[in-house]
Amino acid sequence: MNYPLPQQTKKYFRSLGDLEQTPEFEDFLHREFPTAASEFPEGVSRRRWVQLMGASLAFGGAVGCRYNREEFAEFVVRPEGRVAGLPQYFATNFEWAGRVVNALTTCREGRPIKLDGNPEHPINLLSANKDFNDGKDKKFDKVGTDHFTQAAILSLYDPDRLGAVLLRDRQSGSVESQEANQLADWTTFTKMASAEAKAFEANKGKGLAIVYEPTMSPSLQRWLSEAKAKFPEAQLVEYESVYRRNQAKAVKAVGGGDAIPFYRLDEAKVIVAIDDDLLGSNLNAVIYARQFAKNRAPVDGKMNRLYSIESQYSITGSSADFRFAMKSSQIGIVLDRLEKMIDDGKGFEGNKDEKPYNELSPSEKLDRALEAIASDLLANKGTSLLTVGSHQEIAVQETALRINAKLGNIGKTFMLLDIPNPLAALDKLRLDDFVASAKNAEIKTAWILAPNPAFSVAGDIDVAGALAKIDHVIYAADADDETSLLAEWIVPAAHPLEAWGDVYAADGTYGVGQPQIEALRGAKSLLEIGLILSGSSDVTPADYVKQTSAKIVGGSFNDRQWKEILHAGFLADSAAKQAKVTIAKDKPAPKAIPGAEPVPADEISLGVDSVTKENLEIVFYASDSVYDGRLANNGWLQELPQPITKLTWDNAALMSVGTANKLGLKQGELVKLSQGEASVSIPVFIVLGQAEGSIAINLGYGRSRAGSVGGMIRNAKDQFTVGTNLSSMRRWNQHSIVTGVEARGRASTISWLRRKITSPSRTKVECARSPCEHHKLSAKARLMNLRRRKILLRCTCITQLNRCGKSRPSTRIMLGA
Amino acid sequence: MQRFLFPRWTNKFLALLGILIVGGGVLYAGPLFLGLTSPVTLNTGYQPTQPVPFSHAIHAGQLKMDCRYCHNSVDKSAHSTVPATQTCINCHSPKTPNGGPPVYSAIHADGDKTVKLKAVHESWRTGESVDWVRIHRLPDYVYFNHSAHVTRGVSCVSCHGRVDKMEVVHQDKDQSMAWCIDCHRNPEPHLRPAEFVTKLDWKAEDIGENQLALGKRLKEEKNIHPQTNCAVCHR
Repeated sequence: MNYPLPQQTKKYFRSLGDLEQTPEFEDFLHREFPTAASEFPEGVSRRRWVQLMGASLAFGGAVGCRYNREEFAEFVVRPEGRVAGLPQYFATNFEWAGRVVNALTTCREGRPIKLDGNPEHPINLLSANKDFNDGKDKKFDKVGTDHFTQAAILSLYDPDRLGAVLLRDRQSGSVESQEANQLADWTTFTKMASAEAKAFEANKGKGLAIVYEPTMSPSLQRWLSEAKAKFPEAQLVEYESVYRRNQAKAVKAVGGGDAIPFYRLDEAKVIVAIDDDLLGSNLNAVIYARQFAKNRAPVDGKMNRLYSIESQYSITGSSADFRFAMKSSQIGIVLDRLEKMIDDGKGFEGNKDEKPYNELSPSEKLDRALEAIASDLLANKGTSLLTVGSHQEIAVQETALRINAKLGNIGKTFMLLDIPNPLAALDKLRLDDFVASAKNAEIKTAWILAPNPAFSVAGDIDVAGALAKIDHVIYAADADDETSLLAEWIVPAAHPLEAWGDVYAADGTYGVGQPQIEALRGAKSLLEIGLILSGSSDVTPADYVKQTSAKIVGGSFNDRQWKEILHAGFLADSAAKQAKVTIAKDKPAPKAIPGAEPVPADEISLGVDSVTKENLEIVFYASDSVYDGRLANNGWLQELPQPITKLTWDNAALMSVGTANKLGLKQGELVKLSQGEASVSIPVFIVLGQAEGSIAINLGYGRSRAGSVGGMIRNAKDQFTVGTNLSSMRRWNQHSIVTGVEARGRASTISWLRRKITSPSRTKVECARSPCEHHKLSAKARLMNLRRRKILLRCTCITQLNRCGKSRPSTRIMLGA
Repeated sequence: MQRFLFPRWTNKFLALLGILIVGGGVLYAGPLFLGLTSPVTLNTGYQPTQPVPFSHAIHAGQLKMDCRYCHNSVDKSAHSTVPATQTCINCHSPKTPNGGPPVYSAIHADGDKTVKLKAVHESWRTGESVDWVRIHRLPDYVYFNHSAHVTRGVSCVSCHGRVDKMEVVHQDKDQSMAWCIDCHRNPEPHLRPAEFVTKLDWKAEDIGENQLALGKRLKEEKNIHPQTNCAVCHR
């Protein structure tokens, strides 16, 4: 019997160019590397080629007939458990790109080569899919990690990492390093640091500022609080390059204290993600995605429901059962309406004038969606979850917490975990206050332990000017980057795989991080640099972490327990408990913000008709490739296509088709976005599913001193950058969402032309690129970078191996075998 | 000056010259490519001088030490390791620096008099490794796994010869590709019960069996199907 073929109703496409069959796309299809293909060696004549080949052949024959004499350099004492040729696995934990990684490292011949999730770690057991696999198939026990963690291995072997202590003459900018003379190395640095620590001890730390990144590492927290106790007048400056404090502030505001939110998607039947990429760029996305997938088994009837209201089309939006696109800046209004519906206990009331959803106007669609969401939430009290993205304002975060409290979700699906943090109670400065007091010459010495604040900070905060006013700036750097130009002492900070450390996992489980390899470039961990700076360099970081463990374990802590923690990768049964909190359910009276007009609740602008050139919003996201820019020199991440857009090696202004049409912009054109005096010119990239009037841009691009992959501007002739730097557009008090943005297309094209003329050596073509188009437009630049990197990498590896060969005999076998 | 021309009578030697060139070429290239550069010529008999004149004939032959005492990862991993200095020191530990008795055991313990062990004691004292010279070496494009062979009953002797009789180790087999494939096509003569792989003088007759019959039976029992596909070794 012949069954009729199913009618093709959906048209699948790889990019908008493919859908529209544009000439550029057709051209791409015919030649995969159109630019590079035409760049085959020029200037080599046929005659010369024959000469060279002939010579190679002749010399090839002249080489000796037997292999070179090769020597084994065996260990003097072989490490316990080491079998040459077999991998070893070690559990470790560390913080990476803002998130906590609970990893199992694969090491070969003493070198870490791969990171995976630790399958025995409680946080992974929590989301293990028991229904899917009854422990029969080992393959399903494997636990994934995110792409940042996968790429962490490449960053470890990055040849552009800082390899020596630098001492910069801040007048001339010249650098003294160990290679040049003996002025700057770890010994002189330690001597300088301990002398300075003594002086600070005498004057109680007056004039000292410690800039650090918020951390979940108990040892680092302990060190910071001990430093504060030792130097009571020193200032702690907490600086977060991707601002996520709003949620913590909201928790505190509604009475949750210092508890840390953690979701249990596996306990929720209805999940409402409001402008929150739970399954994609959320810090715990790997855990949440597993929890989410656990209840997505349609055959068993176990199906949760995911609603998503968001501006950028995200992975969560693409997995949602229902998705609604709207501006991020107006989400607060929607959430207020939702709260009111939940207060009234009213959801969908059925059978009004039943028009099909497709025929509704955008605002009617939103109304109906909210009705549906409200009734679903009301029907699933205690088994529902409403989350809000970390970039949303505090008021919005508070509303979400109240809604969850009203639905009885707190402690069930919305956990507020009681993870100890000694820093929470301490007074801290913000970076803008730090800059202000530095400019008033109140700060004599700054220890900068946060990665590259000079690049990642908003454009209106003059970090460079502030650091210039400080006598001693000591910077723990991954690489010789933008901030290191402004510092006096630049000390190399170790990769987490080279360092002792510890960290609380997302569920509060305590775990220790053990070094997988001796520091390749002679770097020291943040903790060790900190101990040197605070004059306690007599404690090794390993002992310091062990002391912290002893405090956390409590009682008599013996070596056996320590080894167990190291071996397992976590302290058993140490997951944090739900904090005993009562969330205030009453909405506080709106505070009058001076100068700000309250937005009327019915003024939600939806649909393309509401878009004008002056009322756009920009939402800044940490890049899914380079995070805040700190991973810009990682070729794997630059090559990795970003979700939905498939953009590589670039950032762009993502906007919908309707918005682009309304603004008269085309794919790849430059648009000048401005708000007040802040402005930036950036290529347009058209994405389906982006909210009308909302523009999403990734941070972290446009580095000027990242390295041979991520961008480097040495002089007028030798410069290349990857993507566009947004600091000129960003404002300190608008962390992620910027409203009232104006867009202009034509003027910027002129400036783009001007730029092209003034810097003829630019290899990068100014255009947003999907992988297809990207080959065509910048293959030359990409190939150059990649080639340069490969050569560099190879050189460093071999010199590295030889260097290691002296102290670690087994390494030389690796080269020959 | 008038240009020199060969006289006309030399023309009849042209043919002879041609024969000489072609014949000489064949005489030169033939042995060069067929004989001199063959793995048999190049590889077998390679016998470099080692930093320590370690005698396999004494240790493995007379003292009957198992190969795996030193080459201990041979049945676990692709590599068969050269022993760490610690392994030598287990028996040949030097006197302590202040002249006290050796820590482990004391065979030729006196560092100054035992010239032969000097490199080992030096290594133990300094922490630098003993630079043993590699004898058997396959090209980098060949994947070879020791444990896969040894655990299936291919003896050391099949590839390395009677090392237990060698005062100084040399390469015994040519270890060419043809030689590998020979055994992969016809493994029966080289299979034995796995417990005897390191007993180099073992014969099937010792347990009252015929080698070919035993090989055939072991091949069946252990499900040994050596591949000759390119990708097996050239991964």
